[in-house]
Amino acid sequence: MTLLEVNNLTVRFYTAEGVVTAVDDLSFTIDRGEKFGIVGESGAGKSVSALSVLRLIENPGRIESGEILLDGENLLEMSDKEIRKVRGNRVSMIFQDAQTALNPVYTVGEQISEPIRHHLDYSESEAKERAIELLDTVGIPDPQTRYSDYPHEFSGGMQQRAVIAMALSCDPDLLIADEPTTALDVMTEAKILNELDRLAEEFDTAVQLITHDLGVIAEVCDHVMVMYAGQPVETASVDDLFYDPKHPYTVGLMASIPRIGAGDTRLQTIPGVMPDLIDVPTGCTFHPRCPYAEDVCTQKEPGLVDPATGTEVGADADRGASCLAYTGDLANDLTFDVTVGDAGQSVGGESDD
Amino acid sequence: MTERDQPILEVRNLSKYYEMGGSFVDSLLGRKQEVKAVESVDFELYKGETLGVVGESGCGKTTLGRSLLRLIEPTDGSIIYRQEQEDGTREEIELTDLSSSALRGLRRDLQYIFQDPFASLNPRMTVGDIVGEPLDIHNLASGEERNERVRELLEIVGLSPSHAYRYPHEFSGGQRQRIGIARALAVDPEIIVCDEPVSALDVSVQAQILNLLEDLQDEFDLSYIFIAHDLSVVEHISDRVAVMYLGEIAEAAPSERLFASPKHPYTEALLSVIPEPDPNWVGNKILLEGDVPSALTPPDGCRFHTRCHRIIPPEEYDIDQDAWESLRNLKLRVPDASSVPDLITFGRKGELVEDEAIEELSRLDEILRSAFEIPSPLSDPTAEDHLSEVVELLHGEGLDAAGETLDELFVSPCETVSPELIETERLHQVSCLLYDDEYRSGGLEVPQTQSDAVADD
Repeated sequence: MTLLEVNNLTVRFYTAEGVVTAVDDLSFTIDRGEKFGIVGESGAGKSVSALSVLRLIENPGRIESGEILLDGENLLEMSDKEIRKVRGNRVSMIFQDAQTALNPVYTVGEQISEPIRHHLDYSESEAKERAIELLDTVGIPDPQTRYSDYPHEFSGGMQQRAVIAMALSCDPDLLIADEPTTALDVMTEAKILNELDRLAEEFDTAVQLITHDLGVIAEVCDHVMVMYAGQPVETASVDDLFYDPKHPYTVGLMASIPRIGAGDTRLQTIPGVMPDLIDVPTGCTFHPRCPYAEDVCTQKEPGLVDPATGTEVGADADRGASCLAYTGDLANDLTFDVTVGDAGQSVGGESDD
Repeated sequence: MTERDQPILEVRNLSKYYEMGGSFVDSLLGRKQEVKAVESVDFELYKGETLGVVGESGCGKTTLGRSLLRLIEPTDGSIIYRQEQEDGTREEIELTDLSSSALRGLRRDLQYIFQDPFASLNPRMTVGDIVGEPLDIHNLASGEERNERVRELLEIVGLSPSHAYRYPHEFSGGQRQRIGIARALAVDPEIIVCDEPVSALDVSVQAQILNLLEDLQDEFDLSYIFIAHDLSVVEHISDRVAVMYLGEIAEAAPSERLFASPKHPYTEALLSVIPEPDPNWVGNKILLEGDVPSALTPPDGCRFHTRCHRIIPPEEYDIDQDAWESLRNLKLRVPDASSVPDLITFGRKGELVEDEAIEELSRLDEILRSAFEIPSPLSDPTAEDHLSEVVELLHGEGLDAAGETLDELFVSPCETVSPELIETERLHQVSCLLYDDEYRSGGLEVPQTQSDAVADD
């Protein structure tokens, strides 16, 4: 069942340098209880798409068009008062940097019980009891004492656990996690991801996970959307994306990560960098970096299509890629082949160097 | 041993302690606290080789890298650099004895690439001046020759020579890192310490920089010390890898061997938790207890013993490592807890309990064992007796008495004996009592070769 439906969302930032189109005509849906991943490099529009859902885009940014439906209600048409009832209650968020997400002058416990009192109308003592339970649930030992600790008395991993406790405090339908483990060490990351996975099941919460790390996506998500320059370039189930990627950018991304046990092979790279969002390339935005680009790619903008049939697909498609190769516009075929797994462990496109 | 086989850099017993700013009274009384950021580190670096240094944040990687070049002064130890002379022989230079002017001269051979490409370039200098500055300082080139060399360097690292007149803010993160690399290359160095050079970059750009570093190594016969927290990056670029934990080297081995058959339990655990970019990958993740302890008060004995999943049980008891790990967890948590119900929440399976629930001794015993995953009964009757005694004390007298008894009766050799870095195979060094003949016995489990981690070769 569909929980969140984002249709044709466009977000622009009006900066002194020019108009940045951070998210361009983006559509996606998240089902109840689904773990939905958004992956891409910096500047792809991942975070902006997440912040838009909670209407947290600040000046000079503006949500220009589109709709964001939560259980059929358009969040963009809500009054400020109504949206405040959604934030932290039906939709909550975990930020990358737990240290800045926590207020240093309130105790951790007060910060966790605040949304419980506010949204669920618990009394002070009831809220405290629930906050202590939550601290215990997210794996913080000695929760009774820890309730009155200040954020600086927690380690980085524990701070992130506290933020997760806060996010889960009102039993949300959707949890948006924006790079929740990027600032953490690999051991702490493993523990937090484990916890997030377990809690999402326990609370039956849908997760929108934003990350640049394909390893994290592979571990947590059911469905993935790859973003590039504010647009989705590919959407697929996690298995399809890793074993049968359809967009040259996805392939390039996978080929450029070092894999353990791959031997002394040279990394494949995507030449160049993500374009400036003030002045994106015409046609397919990826064409200047794409090894398969042809003249038509500089002129014709590809839509999200089903790679098997070439027909345009909507936001809720199981499979989609935006590349002209699937609409018959290219003279040549995409020639990458993909092998993931024990034998060789490589995803390869055409080498560019 | 021939000249060729001698390491270009040899580090012995290198330590760096930071003094903590205690209170005024503390300093008057001569009391001081020290953070032992790096302690007694030994390693060698050979010509043309990349030595990777990995570890979690706070393990002393960066301090190690900076002490090597004396960007911070090491507290103790020796760093021998073998400088190539004009006749091809190598002269030994002890870096820790050098005056600062002699050291400045040596910076021609020893260079550093910084983590943050945004903070390590002067925003008020043009790229040409940033890359040309080392040439000026060391009087390597001037005038048109200098400008020519700057253009050449920019080309080597994949930038356009016309970029020499631009300022750092006009470049992306990856390009800035290239500028930093060009600056390091300007003096034609022998050794470059790369401190997390790609961790601020996106994956596609990271791959470009890693390839560039490899190409430059081949072209100029450079030796790298590559510091990073990302294990797959380190595996990719390094010939040998040293794993650090709390300021010490836990294990060092050729890269392939370390990743295929880690010997130190810490390495084993670290490797097990790398998020694998493969949705169907199933591995047994070893999630270590707790956080890295503070370097201000590192644990006695093996520094890893407070989190080790393969901790050695004392000889007098016949119990396995898993059961002992559980007992160790209980023992470590008792001093942290403020009450008995509190103690139970510290267990991996521990949940909040009411005081009434543990009023009866047998209930407490049951709940405590399940919280800490302690077998009931323990396989060794003496150990079982001792544990029952502890639980009774916990029930009757409280935490302090139970803690004392635990400290008295359950002591692992890992808590008291500090392991040496021993060579188990050629070039494979590990600092763990599991490989010490005195403590090794038949029943102990050591990390196994990870068959699925080695695909080819």
